[in-house]
Amino acid sequence: MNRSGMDKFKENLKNIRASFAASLLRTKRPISGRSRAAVMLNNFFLHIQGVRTNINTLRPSYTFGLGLVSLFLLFFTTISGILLMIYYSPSTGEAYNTVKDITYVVFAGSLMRNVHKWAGEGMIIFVMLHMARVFYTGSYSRPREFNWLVGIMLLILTFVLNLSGYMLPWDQLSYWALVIVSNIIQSSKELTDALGITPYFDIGGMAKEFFLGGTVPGKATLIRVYFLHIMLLPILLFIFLGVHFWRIRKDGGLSRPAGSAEKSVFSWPDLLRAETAVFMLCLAGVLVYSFYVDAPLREMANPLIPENPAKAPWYFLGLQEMVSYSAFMGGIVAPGLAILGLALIPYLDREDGHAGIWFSGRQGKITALQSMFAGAAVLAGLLAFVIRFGWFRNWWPDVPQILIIMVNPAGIWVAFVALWSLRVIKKTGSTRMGAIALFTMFLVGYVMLTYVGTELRGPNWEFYWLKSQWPMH
Amino acid sequence: MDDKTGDKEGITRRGFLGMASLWAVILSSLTLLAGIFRMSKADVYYEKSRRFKIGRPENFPVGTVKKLDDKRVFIFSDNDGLYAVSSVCTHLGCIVNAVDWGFQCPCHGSKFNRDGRVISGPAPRNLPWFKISRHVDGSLVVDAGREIRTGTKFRV
Amino acid sequence: MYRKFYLTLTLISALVVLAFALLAAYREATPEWKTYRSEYRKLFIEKAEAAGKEAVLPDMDIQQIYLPELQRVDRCTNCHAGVDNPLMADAEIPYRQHSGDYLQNHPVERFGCTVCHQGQGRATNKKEAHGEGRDTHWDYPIIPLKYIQSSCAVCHDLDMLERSGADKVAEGARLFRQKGCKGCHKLNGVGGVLGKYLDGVGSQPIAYFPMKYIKGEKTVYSWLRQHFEDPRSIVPGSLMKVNLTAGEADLLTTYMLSLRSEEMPARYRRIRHAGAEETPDGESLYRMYCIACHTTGKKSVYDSIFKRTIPAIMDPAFLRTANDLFLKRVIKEGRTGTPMTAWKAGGAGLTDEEINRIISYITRDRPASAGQAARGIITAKRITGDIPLQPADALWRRAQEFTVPLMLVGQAPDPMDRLVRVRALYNDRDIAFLVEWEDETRDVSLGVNTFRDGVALQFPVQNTVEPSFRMGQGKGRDSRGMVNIWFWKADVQESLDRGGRKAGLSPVENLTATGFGTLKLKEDASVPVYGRGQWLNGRWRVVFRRAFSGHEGDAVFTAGVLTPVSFAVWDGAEENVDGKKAVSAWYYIVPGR
Repeated sequence: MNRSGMDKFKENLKNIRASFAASLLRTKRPISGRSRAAVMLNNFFLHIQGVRTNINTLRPSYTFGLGLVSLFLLFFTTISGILLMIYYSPSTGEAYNTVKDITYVVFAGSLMRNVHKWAGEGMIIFVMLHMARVFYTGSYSRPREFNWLVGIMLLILTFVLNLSGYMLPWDQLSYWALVIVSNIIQSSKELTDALGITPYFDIGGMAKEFFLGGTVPGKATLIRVYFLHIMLLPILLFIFLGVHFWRIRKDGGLSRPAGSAEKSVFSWPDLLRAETAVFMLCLAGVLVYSFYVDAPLREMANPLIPENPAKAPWYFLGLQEMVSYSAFMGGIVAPGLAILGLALIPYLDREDGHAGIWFSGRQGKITALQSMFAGAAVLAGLLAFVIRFGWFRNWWPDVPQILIIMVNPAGIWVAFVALWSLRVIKKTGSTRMGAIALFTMFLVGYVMLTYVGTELRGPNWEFYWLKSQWPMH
Repeated sequence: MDDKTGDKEGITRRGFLGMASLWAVILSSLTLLAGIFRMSKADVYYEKSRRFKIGRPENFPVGTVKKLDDKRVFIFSDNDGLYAVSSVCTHLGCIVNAVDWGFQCPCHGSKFNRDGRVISGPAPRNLPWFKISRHVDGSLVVDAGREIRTGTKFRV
Repeated sequence: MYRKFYLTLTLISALVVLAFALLAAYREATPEWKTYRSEYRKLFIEKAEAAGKEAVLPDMDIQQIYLPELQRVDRCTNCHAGVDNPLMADAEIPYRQHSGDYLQNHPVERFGCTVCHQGQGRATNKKEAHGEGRDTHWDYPIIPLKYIQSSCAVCHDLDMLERSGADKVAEGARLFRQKGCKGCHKLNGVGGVLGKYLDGVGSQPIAYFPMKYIKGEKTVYSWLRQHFEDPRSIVPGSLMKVNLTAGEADLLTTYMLSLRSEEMPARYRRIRHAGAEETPDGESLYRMYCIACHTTGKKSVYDSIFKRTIPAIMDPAFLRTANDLFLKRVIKEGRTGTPMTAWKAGGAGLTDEEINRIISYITRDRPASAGQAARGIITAKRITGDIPLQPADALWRRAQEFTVPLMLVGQAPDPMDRLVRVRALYNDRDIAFLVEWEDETRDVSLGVNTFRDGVALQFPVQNTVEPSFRMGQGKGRDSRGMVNIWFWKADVQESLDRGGRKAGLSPVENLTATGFGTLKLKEDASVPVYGRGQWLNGRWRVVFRRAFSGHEGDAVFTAGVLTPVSFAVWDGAEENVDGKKAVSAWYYIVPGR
């Protein structure tokens, strides 16, 4: 047919939508199996996911979408954070005022700040839930051990990102949390003091001053923390995240029970549908919560007026509780051992065939419940004891500090967890059960200690049942 | 699993769900995107206001010129009224000097006549005149954000 | 796979997102202040029409007054849009024009609002802008109008404010100077140490003050006001003395609030310092620093808060015996163990000139006293030979005589001059004193109804800062207040002369004390005090002699260094015994050349 130039032009104008879609997606509308495969392979954003997805992965009651929720919370935090950067200034004279202006003057500023705060702190909760899911479904076993380690890295980065963000408004909460954190960083000083080597090797003091950029929190600290928060940590986070996803693919997708191995569907549209659903749900949750609940902001930072009690953000209060027994044990050894313990799980439990089933069956459920109750009871007992009777220094004022470092409630708890897990291994003959015991007690410990630090500790770190009982200044 | 229903005529319940959720996602995303763009637009500028009081009319006797350096404006008063001429050269922003025949810019030699019209030099346009109004408490207000036609004088 | 489930989830969530996004947009587009702005515009148009004027309406965008020099951003005019609009003079708040003509000299564009009214200028809703309630976490809520003049003093000096009718701060400052507040509180580096520093108190955050017992809103101005009313109900255990009417408390609160720590830029300040500040006179200084505890100084008063007696420093009987050196030392160094502060320049911060003026004021009612001892210093002469114990020995005439006036204690005051005359000698072994006084009768027997004559010398054991001359202080707990007493008793002397006791014993008892009722013999008797008393023609003369160097608990003498000494005389005929006697305040022996 001999079409005129104008006809060709008009036809192209009519088909713009279709031809644009085709150039973007590089395929036609994916209906056949081949086109569905193609759309996944040919798209930059989509090709990290496999062409086919195991049906177990799509089962809501398997993963509860927790990993996706964590990821999407990260997106929301990042985007809201970038927008907040338009208005925030990281100078100690200006920071507080810019945060105030964000809440008062910027369109949707307080909403954006709330989103940033709640999505960020939500990440802690959901990353831990995701870690629990991965653990209890045994998804760390071969070949996924390394991804478990990457996940632990991501957990740590999540905590530090939250912490660095907490410092930025430079209000009373930020400032005194910074003082607490810098002193926790100095924890090893307790050990070098007790050994008398601090004058020669003050690793704690050096670490603290390195972090603060001085001896007290000040201008240098804020800039450093800001740099960590917006640049260094997000870069590291996204690198590890990339590795995390890449490993998922290389390890063969999400874990599944043995035997269901090869029932799979095309990722397009089923997986995408599931992801979109989780995305919107997450967005809705964050948006609704941020609409109603405001992120706190106290008075401007005042180095002369300490907050009493001066508390780290809630997710570090379990650590702060342990630090109140012994700085070195609670600040360095116990958390260090906890992370080490978590990291070693896939290497100390090499049993195959547990992946894909929650609690690896009935025995696992029983082990988990037993460990939960035993751990809760022992920890509650330790806490009640130390709250009621104090510890060594209360009974023997001259006791050498090294003794307190070596024997204190935090250390006793860690030792108990280790011993109990070993006992479970011996009794059940299974390293998987031991791992379940260990992890369950880790969770119990984190939750209980965080609760104590948040709700039951008042001024001077004294014990109070209720906030209303705190003595007023 | 093949999705053949997209080919059917009319909207089935199945198709409706798919379409509705797709459109819901698109709409909500666009709304949020709009909000994000709106948020990036600054609502307040951290600058001195462009509207400022210059005092009562009695302070500007007929036949005088006042140069307000910090506000970058000349206030003229003659028999026809008051007018405010910007002292910022329209070339590259230097402050012009008033001379008896008009204004002279010291930077690149632009010349303006007494009304602010460009006579010579690289300046591309006339010195703008700003709107003068009367505040309800009696003082005069110059609005450097509102330009008026050259020659419009404010009758006191 | 799970298609319906996920799609439904997506649909519902997306609708929720849409709904809340729109809700949020609506909320952002209708802030509180827009209601007030549009209402203002309507009012403005009405009133302008009625008055036949042109209404130049403000736009509906957010406004702010940006004041980088004052480091503030004030957004009050978003609601208070009519603040400089004369048509709004009778409108209701927040549309009303600012009262008075303050805006003529303080135009809103240059000053904003919060420099005077405080409050949170950056906020855009009423509650947070006004700083109402602790949950706004703003330390400087809108200041009540009765205290608002405190802000004037941040830029203006008080004379100018008084002349312009804003005299509350000046009144408050006057009360502050007259009520003796600086006796306990430091301000600008000078003042007592019993209370907190007052510099910048008006700028302190709320957390600086103990708010537990404050009634009503917990703000700085409430705290100051209620604290002035009854300090102990706000700060348990407070030592503050206060006696103010309600009006005075308000004025003082205003003054306190005007003590701010922020510096206004020079262009805003209108403070003229009228030349060098002259030192106030003695009476003003006394009122500024001393009056709160010592009140009129005419009578000694037991203070139930300090739990001690505050001495009557302007009582004529006391002044007779209190020499200027003693007064100066006590004022400069304070008295450890008591609330009396060290007022020297390095302590509470008074200059020597100011202290001298205070002393002149205190001593203006001092009865005329004779002799060089009015200066307070008794010089001991150094000789080469032995020092005689005989009072009548001619050697004593080589020593210079000093007159020390005494005051009566434990009995009714007596206008007649009581005094002792003192001479002192020392060599490289011993130091000795000859004390003479008039006594018509020679009373040497101690019985049920008879009393004896006596004389005592008293020295502080540690003469860094004098303890009370009323037999020391500390009541056994604090050895810094210990005194060493050499007590010569006429009856002991009599029985020694009669041979009633073994020779070699001394009629002088060597004692220590730390206040009334704690007198006891020195346990370490290794450095005895010898003495001899003689009565002749209505006059007693008693010699005391001791080794120059003593041991622990003994009086300390050093060549060229002042040692405080106090004298006490008992007249048996007047029934003097124990605390009923005539005493001197501290004088100062210096072993000279």
